[in-house]
Amino acid sequence: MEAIATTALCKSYGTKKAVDNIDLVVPEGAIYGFIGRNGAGKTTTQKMVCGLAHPTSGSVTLFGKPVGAQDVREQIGVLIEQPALFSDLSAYENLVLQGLSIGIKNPKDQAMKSLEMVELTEAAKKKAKQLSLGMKQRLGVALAMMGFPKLLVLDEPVNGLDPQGIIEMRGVFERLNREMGVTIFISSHILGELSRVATHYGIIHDGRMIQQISAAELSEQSRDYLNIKVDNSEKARLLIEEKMNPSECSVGEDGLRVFGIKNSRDVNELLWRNGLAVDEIYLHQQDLEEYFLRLMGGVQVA
Amino acid sequence: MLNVFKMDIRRMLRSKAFYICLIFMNLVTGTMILFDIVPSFASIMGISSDGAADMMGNMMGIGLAFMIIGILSALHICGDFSSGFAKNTFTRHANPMRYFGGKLLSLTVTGVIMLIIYMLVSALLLAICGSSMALPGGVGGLLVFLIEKVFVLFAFTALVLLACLTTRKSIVGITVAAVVAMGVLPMILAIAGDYLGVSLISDIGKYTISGLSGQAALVFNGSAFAIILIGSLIWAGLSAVLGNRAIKLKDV
Repeated sequence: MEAIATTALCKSYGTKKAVDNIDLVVPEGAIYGFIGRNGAGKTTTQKMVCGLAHPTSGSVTLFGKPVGAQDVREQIGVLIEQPALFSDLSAYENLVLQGLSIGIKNPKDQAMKSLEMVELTEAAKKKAKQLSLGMKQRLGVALAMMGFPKLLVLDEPVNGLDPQGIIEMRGVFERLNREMGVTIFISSHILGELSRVATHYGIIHDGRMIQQISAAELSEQSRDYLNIKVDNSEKARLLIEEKMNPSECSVGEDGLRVFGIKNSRDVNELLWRNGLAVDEIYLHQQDLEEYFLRLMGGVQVA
Repeated sequence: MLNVFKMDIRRMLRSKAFYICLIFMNLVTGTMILFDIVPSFASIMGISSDGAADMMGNMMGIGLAFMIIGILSALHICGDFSSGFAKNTFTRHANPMRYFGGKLLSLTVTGVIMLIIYMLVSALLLAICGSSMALPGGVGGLLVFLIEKVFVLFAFTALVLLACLTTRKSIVGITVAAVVAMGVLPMILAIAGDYLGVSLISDIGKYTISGLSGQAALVFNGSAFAIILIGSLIWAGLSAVLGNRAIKLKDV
């Protein structure tokens, strides 16, 4: 079953279409990375998925039911735009309030468990305004997790975190997903980090869904190539094309690029036998960032 | 609805604003009692000698309490949106009435707590100063008066809630609270009625929230009691319907 499915989802503000005809599918149990530049429509889409914004047209279903149904709404946790905290209250108190608001049993116990989960136990009594940005983000995730939702909708949850904080947060997402089966719908600009956890991706541009792809499909489609630095690149290119039949072979500023061949040892041996000295040879694997850039036409990532 | 109520009342009782407002309200009233500006319990309750309420009475009497409760309510409601906490609440509660109802209940309870403390502190200070503590309707009359004020408070809070949910701006909520608490609308209607010589216009003012509040008296009056109860419920209901609509139409 799909955790999230949208059909022809549109949202307009005046004449501007913020979200234009989006058909989004997030399988249950997935970590779905939602990628796009600033202003592409990610947050608006996520708000509609949570019932916080009303679509101009189209529909949203969560676990097979319309987003307006109370029982599915009880299965969502959100962190959208910024951690939703009362700054004058402590981290613990914010969690207790959230627990009371959603009607869970033992909100105080649950608040402590949530603080442990995001490793904020020591900051429990600190006022939210005294927490660092990273701690606030973690508290925001803890708030979203109160009541153990089946679906987490997170908008830039690692923004402002230091490298250690990002690694810890990644651990939290992986635990929630693998151990508790929580589906995570996450938008992020830190694509390298996203690619470490996401099982599926959706790429949005100017309010339109450009592509939805699973991590496995992305891996298959990625244009990995051998990069070779050799004393005579042109001669090496002709030799490789003649003997190894690559899908593409080109000479660039940083050396020779050979597509369709991943065995660097065979290539190295061929060049060496034909009197070409190889300075460097390695397999370049295309990452999510490059894939995104290529899809966007090579323009700057937001 | 009860979940939102429980959350909200806990948040209110842990906020500094609640205690600051409570202290300020009693400080102002206490000062007025000590300087003999409001010489009797009736005047503290915003009731002039003829049983009606006027603007000065409102500003120096219970109208001040209403104004402060209104300001506190407006800040409290808009705080949900400015902090972003409303996103958590509205994600989990599909029916906006759960939010409106829970909020209305918690703010009314908060207001009642403040009103009771206001009355007790005022009575205590009046007794200490040796001022008039006359209760023309006895303790029963005072209780009925309190019930009437609670109903008016219910309608008043619903209206402030409506203003805040429609605009998401605390200044609008505060302005609405001040206008109602000071009885501006019935006063304008009374002036307009006198000027045009149409008593009906003046009479309409009696059914505004300020007008209903002004009808509350320390002596039990059956018809006034019924008008206040029914009128307050109609105002609260109307505000709830429109507030519900505002939540549904506006994105969080």
